[in-house]
Amino acid sequence: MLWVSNPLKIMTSDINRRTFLKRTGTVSGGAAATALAGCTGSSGGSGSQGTSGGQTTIRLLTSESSPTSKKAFRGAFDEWAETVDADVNRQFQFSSADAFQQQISAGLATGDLPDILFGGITSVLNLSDSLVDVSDTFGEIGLAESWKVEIDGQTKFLPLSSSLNVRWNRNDLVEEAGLSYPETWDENVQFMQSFNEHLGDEMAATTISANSNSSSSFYYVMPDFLSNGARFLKRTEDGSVEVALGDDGIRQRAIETMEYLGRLGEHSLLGTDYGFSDLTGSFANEVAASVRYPGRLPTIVSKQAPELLEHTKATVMPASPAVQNGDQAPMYFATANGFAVSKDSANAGLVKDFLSYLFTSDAYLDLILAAPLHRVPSKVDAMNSDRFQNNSVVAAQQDYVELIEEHLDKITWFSELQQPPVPYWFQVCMGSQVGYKMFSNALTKRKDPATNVDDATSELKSILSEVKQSQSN
Amino acid sequence: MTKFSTSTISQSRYVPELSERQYGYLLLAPVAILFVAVVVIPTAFAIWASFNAWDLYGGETTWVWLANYQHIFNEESFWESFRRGVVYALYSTVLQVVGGLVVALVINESFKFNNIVRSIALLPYLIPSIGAVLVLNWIFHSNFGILNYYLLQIGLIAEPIRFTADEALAMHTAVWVSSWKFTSFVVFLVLARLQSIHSEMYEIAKINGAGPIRRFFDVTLPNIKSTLMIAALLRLIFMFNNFDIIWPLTQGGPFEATNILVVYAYNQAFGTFQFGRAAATTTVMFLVLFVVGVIYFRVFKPEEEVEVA
Repeated sequence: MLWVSNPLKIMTSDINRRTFLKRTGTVSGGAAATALAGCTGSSGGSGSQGTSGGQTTIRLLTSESSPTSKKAFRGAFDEWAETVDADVNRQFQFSSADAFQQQISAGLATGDLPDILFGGITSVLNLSDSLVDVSDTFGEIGLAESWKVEIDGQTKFLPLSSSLNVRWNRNDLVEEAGLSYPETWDENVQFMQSFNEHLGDEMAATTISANSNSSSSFYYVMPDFLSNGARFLKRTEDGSVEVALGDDGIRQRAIETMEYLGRLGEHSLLGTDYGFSDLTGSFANEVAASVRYPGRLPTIVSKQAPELLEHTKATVMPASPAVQNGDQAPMYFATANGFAVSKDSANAGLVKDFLSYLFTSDAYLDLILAAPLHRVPSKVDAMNSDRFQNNSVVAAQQDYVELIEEHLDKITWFSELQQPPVPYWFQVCMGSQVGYKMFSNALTKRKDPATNVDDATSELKSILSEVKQSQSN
Repeated sequence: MTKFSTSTISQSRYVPELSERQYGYLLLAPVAILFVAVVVIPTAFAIWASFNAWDLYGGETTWVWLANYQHIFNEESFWESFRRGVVYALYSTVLQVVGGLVVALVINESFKFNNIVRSIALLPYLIPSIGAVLVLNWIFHSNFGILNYYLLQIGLIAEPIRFTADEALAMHTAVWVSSWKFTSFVVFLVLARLQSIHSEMYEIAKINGAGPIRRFFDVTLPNIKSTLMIAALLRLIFMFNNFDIIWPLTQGGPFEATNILVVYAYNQAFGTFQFGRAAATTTVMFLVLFVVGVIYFRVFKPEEEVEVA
């Protein structure tokens, strides 16, 4: 494992604030959890809190909590509220990604999901049984068919934006080292070794989260894992959900991925206590010369270290062995954020009307530009608009936009999505931390690859069996 | 006891005539209702929940008798978390009680600015845990932390210390952070007791030739023993249940090195959404602390009067 001898970089206030908000959210969730687990109980499902005294309340839960996004959500709603012939008010809840999952779970448990969910495609679509069909709204908005994800012939998701997961590099330092960007896993390990030799003790070639308690490690490694043909779960022919990780071919691919991670970890600055902001902070504060991250990174760099923006270059991930030998089609992983409408909503008609308004008003680009490249618009006209193209972060990172355009047809949603979706995918693969631990163990070489995969398989089987058991009770 | 004048009540237009006993119940009622609402009902609910399985997606509960307890007792991670929880609670309680005693003895002395020093000693307890821990997390950060920065700058270390990232160090870091935060509680309990010891006792001890150490063992310690015992018990219970230090600091990591029982319960509830098992875990914690409390009072008898030789 690498370390940087002279980090001497203290996080800027922006990082502190981000982390503070994120962790405060987490701790609030934690306090609530402790209260529930140890002391207090929920009152049980109360149903949708739709209409009271002639006033209709629209509730939105979002995994987005930046001030600009909050402003855009609220502004859009208030503008729309003036156009409708109803007394509507809003109750918006802005959460961290982890708290979002917890609040969804609490909503499911009490039969009281908010009217609108705004979050990542996988987390939202895994709830497809609890969502209404929004095909009509999808058509009204005029989104391209390629963005449509159908489950049992129904559209349950209105995509706002997508963000390609890439590696952000200090291109000036890569050029200075005389290196060319790697295209395969073996080349990648060699690249990191050579880059480290060039950089010396002052900076690491790359940084990776190896935190067994945080999804930051999971999201970092999932693209390698999936693009090499490995999977956690599968749907069998009869539609039941089983663990796929132990299957012969998949197990071998998973072991191969773990071996690669171990080799990569040797040449990386590993953060066993890292969250997401530590990754971006390492890059912005010149502790590491590359980092894997979605499109939000240039926005963060533009705030914390604007002088680095012109030297920041996005490259796609090196191809896995499975892709190289044609066993697996090339996959470029993207997060997609969007909206879904809960079946619990007593006001689905109004909610859809609001979402149509949001997508067709200026608020759409307001939301997109709250995180310019983290949200590449789902609407082509918005992507080509002057307002989007002239944004300083977008203008400085045309390479990234071109990467997305170039690979649009190969983009895969971030985590595995079975057909039909498995509602407890997060619970089994992430909430249990099995995935986090397996990837962290591989990066830090705490377990040999085969044992690591077999232990994870065994844990997954046990958890899946319990989840199925609790559902059949 | 002062007898309440019922005649005053009977003259009122709004208050019916009450006996002294009834009036006593009336006065107790707000506290009793509050106690039932925030302690008895939630505790009973948690115990009830521990005998149920919860279907997250259907919202239904099924009575499963002792299955949740059976499951957690069969899990190695439960017992590891239990062991870590005991280590965390005992280690930090010892630090807090010993540290609190030393600080209280120091600030009990008369010296210039001792009021300012006393205020400073109270400060960690006044800062909200979440704020304090987030700041400390940044201070201890292996790559960006100011502590590593200065230690490296002055050449005391050759590479950053991974306070919260190293499995061998993370528990120590969590314990010292919590001790820093909560030692003030012990300081002020002990200080209050120290200030109630009659100065004549020290004077008599001095006249009899006792030095400072002898005076501590013969006068101070017997007088503060019961306070120390109560402080230790309270800190032990609090630290065994403590969540707001360890969660923001390490979230139970790295690699479960600080995954104490309360974090295990949290992960059961909000990781795998096994609310019944989470409730079973916290019920076990409650029972363990109850038994420890009973044994503690029987063995140490902190309520006994002080006997000074």
